[in-house]
Amino acid sequence: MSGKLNFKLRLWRQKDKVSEGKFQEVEAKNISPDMSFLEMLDEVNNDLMRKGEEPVAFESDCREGICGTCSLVVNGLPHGPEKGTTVCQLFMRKFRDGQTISVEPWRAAAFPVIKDLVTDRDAFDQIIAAGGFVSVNTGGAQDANALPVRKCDADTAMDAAACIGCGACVAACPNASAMLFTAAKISHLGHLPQGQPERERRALRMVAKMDELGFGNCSNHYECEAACPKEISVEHIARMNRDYGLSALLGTERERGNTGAG
Amino acid sequence: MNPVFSWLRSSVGRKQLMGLCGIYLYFFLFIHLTGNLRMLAGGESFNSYGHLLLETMGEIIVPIEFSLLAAFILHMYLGYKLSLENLRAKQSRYAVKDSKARKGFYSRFMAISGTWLLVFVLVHVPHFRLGVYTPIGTVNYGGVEMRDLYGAAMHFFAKGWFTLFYVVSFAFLYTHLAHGVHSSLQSLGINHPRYNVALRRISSAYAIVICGGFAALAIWAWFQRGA
Ligand code: FES
Repeated sequence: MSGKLNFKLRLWRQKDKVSEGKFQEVEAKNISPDMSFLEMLDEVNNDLMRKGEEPVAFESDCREGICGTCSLVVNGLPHGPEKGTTVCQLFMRKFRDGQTISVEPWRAAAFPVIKDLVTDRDAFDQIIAAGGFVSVNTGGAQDANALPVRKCDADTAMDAAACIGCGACVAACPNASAMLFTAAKISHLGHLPQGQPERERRALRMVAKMDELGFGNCSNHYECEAACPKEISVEHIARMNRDYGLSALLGTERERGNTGAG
Repeated sequence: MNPVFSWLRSSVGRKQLMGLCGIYLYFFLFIHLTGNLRMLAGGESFNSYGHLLLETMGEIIVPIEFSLLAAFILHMYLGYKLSLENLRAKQSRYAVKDSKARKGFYSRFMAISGTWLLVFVLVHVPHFRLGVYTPIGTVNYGGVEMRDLYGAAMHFFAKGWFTLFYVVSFAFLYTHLAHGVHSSLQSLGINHPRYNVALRRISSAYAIVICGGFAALAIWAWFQRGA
């Protein structure tokens, strides 16, 4: 059995949206190498509470890499140093004993910090509400195979649908742009027959919403793709650009000017 | 709202327009380079070509020149706007910053390389096209009087500093294109696994031909000094 590990943590502490934050240095002692990063933080919080201090706030839910709730920048990398891994699935054996680890929240104008390591990612919900859905009339559920989908389209749609909406793409982007997220959603539905009727409207409205919410402009650094825990490709961004350009200039969508509300 | 306006106002549309302007300017450089190659054939060949363009084909060439100017200004305006907006979005970010991406070195210096190219154009176009800094003389070939652009170029490149400035500018142009061409294609939605490798090779070969060609000509002209 491998021995226990110790770390020096620099945790971002911030009281609320308006206060200035700063780093707090905390020791993490006797950490099992098999703990996940979040379990390590749980231990640190237990220690803090035992000492009567306030635990550090951070978000998590599934802790198995599928919900996109966890959102920590570890040593300057969203979700930490591992490729294709959420921070809840990052294990402490990936760090050196005695290493100093800085932990910060996502930082982007559109993702304000609420407290410590927790940010408000409501902007993503707003982008989805602007068009990231298919409208379905109520009624009996359709037969599962009533709409044939080519295997290659199903695969590409699935690659895009792997997006868990965590926001690491925005956090990693030097311009805090939300292009990869938005593109993944547009591409996911755009590859399926159910997504076709609203395809133009979806591209126009979601891009307009994204611009409105104060995300930066993509300048093709591809940090997003590298940081994405689901390794979603920037090809989807190209596809969105194509969809958007064609819909805006040649599209027949009547409400194209009315890109505000969902 | 007019759909073209909303396209122009969106982040995606502006980048697409910037890319289109850039690609237009980029193709022009190829024509420019083929013309310049006539310098190797001597003054008469080069000057008569210039004469043909300006005098005989002036009705076509001058409007094209204005369209190039418009594309240049638009490209520059959109580029600076993009850089400024991103500078704002970037503010007050991480205390520690690292990256998992392959480092795109040139991509971070588009505004700097672009600014250098602006200075270059402010030197180059007034000097050689308009004769602002030093008036361009005339020569006479078989009774036809024309601008002696060849003489002006030789005189200019005889000065080592000017040649150096041009060569450095072409190096900046290369860095600008190395990111810009690829980035424009992505903004226009041209990204497909089947063609990406070929596109990347063609665009870098093209950038090397353009920048290397211009730089080689400037250096060649410098070597002709005193001849
Ligand atoms: S907590 Fe669900 S993905 Fe990390």
